[in-house]
Amino acid sequence: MRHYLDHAATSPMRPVAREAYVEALATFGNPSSVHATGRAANGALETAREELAALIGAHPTEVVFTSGATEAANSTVHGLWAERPEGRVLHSTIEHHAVLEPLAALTDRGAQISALPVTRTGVLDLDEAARQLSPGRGPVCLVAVQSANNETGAIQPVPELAPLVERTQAPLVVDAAQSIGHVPWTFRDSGATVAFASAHKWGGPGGVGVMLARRVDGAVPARRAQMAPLLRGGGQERGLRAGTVNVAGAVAAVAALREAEDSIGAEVPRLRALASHLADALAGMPGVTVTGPPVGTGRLPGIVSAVVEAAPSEAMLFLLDGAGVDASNGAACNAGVVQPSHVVEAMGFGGAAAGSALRISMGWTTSQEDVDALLHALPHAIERARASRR
Amino acid sequence: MRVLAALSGGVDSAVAAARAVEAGHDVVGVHMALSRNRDQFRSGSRGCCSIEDSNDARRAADKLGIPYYVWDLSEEFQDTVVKDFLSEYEAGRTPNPCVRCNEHIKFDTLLDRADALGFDAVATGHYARIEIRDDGVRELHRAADAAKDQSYVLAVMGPEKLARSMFPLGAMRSKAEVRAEAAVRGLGVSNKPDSYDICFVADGDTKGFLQRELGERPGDILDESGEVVGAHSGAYAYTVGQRKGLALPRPASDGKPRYVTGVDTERNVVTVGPETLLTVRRVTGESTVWLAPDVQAIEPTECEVQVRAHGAPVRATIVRDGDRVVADLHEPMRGVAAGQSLVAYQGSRVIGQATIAR
Repeated sequence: MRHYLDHAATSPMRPVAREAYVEALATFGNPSSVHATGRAANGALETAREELAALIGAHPTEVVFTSGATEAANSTVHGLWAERPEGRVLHSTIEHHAVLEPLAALTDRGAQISALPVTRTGVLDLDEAARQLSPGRGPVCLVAVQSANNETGAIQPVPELAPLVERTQAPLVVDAAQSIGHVPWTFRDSGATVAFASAHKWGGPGGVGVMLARRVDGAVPARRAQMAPLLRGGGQERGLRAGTVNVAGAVAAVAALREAEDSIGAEVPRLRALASHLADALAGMPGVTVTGPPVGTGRLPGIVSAVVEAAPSEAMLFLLDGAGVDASNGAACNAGVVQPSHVVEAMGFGGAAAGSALRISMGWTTSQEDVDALLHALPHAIERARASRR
Repeated sequence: MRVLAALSGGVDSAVAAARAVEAGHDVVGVHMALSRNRDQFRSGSRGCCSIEDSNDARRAADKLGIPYYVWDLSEEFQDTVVKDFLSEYEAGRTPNPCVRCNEHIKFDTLLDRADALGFDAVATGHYARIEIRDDGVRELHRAADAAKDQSYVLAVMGPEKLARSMFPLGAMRSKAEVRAEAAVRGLGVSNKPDSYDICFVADGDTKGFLQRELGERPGDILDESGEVVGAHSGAYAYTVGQRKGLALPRPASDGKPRYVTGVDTERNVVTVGPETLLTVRRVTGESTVWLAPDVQAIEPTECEVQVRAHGAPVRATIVRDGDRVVADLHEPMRGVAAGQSLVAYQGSRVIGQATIAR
């Protein structure tokens, strides 16, 4: 039996989403068509949009369906830059590559980009952010800070950051891929100008994402999401994302999110208890340092991360895989090569630690048995992984 | 046995892995990422190292139903193969990077890592045979297909590593047979072209690679009397026995072609002369690796020696003295370059290997 402990990479599709998906596939039609068939498809799409908006505290017109968080991140970065290509672009050092890479592409076009550091526990350094955002430092183009980190689960102080960003009149971009459906989070209260996520992280289908683009901001009109579309074509999704919308995908994504949101109250304490047990056990192993904030409110309930002295991630993951446990080092794989973690490096651990990270991420299917299987296999895997390097 | 199959993405390693699976072993496929900045697509006659190649390896593992991983050995490869390649040329020798890769990467780092992770053996798509005698001695032999035989570049692995290695293709009669078997097994790489260039020299242009990495160092080309007969842009790029690419402005007085007879990188001088000066009757090797415990060659011993990857073997009498081995050739040989491997055979069996000294 496999023990799947990589929910932060992707979470198994919830049966309720699978059923909604299959059912919606039977209703065909292009929602942009003017005939009855098209209207029926459009009705299903708009119902999904309204439900999703209600679930995450947004207005339906602020919801743009995309192919995933990466597309949304690229649309956001390029779209905002196109409308306001002046001032500094600020981002946390621990953003996902889906944000870092489009930002890096802006450098080639003359953008002035600065990284905001994080503390040893992987939380945005608010004091440094405040200094960077002070009026004397000049205009700001955009600020990108994720809601919670995908490697450590560290929840970022976005609500505290938002007023500082608001002072500069710059848009605040929030990658909420790890938060939506996992912890209480609303677009309205997040302070974000644009936020995005992927449905497969909350138990929906792959290939479906959502971009939330603020349409009004009473106090600061400039903080309306003014962005040029990345994908141009038939003008779908309020002109922000052309292309025939994946109706069945949207319907399934919303069905999954409904179940996820309904169960947050029970899931958060359940996963937190598992995480607490796991983190304690890891901390008791020689040479293992649990990274990120302590298990509790400052951290996503399902993610536990660590660095394991002198044990390469590549070898640990290989041995855990052989023992039936699916885990990760948290960082992206580049064509199969396990990459060192830029997040662990940003937290001030050395380069060696970045190559020995381990991330356990739990979700709606995770049981005590899965955690026990990991804890059973891990000491041996660590020992062998250490021996594999001379 | 638990077997780690090294999968390059080519047809040979895929069929080798398939045969290991079929033999009933518990097989895991591993692709070695040897370059830090891998190209997206394969190009020219390089058979590995692009992301396309690693995807081909992954698909082969999928077909065989075995787990698959990519191991990043780029740092080790850079440190022990690429740097050695450059420093050897810089020292006026002609290294064989495939020998160094087998010595330091495949049958050292990979084998040791496999060992530490619980594998009993490493299987590769090399063409060579391992024969286990009744007394337990493992013999390394030429492959059944002489045209594909790779025992020359494998000999450096030595006797202990043989015990933990498997070459499932050693008995194949031809590459065509391997391709046919790949096709029957539904392996998509059955038609993939052969590779023959040095994997880290992108366009097969070794001289250009050396010039980029080592810089231009212009100097003189002298004839055997010490007269300047031409110019070069770096003595390191020349190999003893080389005839092409000398670009000498005038022909020799006797009208016969001239060859590189000496490379002195300390003085940055290349010497040329007639073919007769290339002829040697004795070859000395160092850093000897001995594979035959029953043929120690401490006393003069008859065998055949080979000094190039696809060169013909020549009968010789060899004597081994510690780390060194001296081969007296029964017939003269030409184009023996320092830095290449000297491999001694008795029939098809490899008895020892050494690096040719200057």
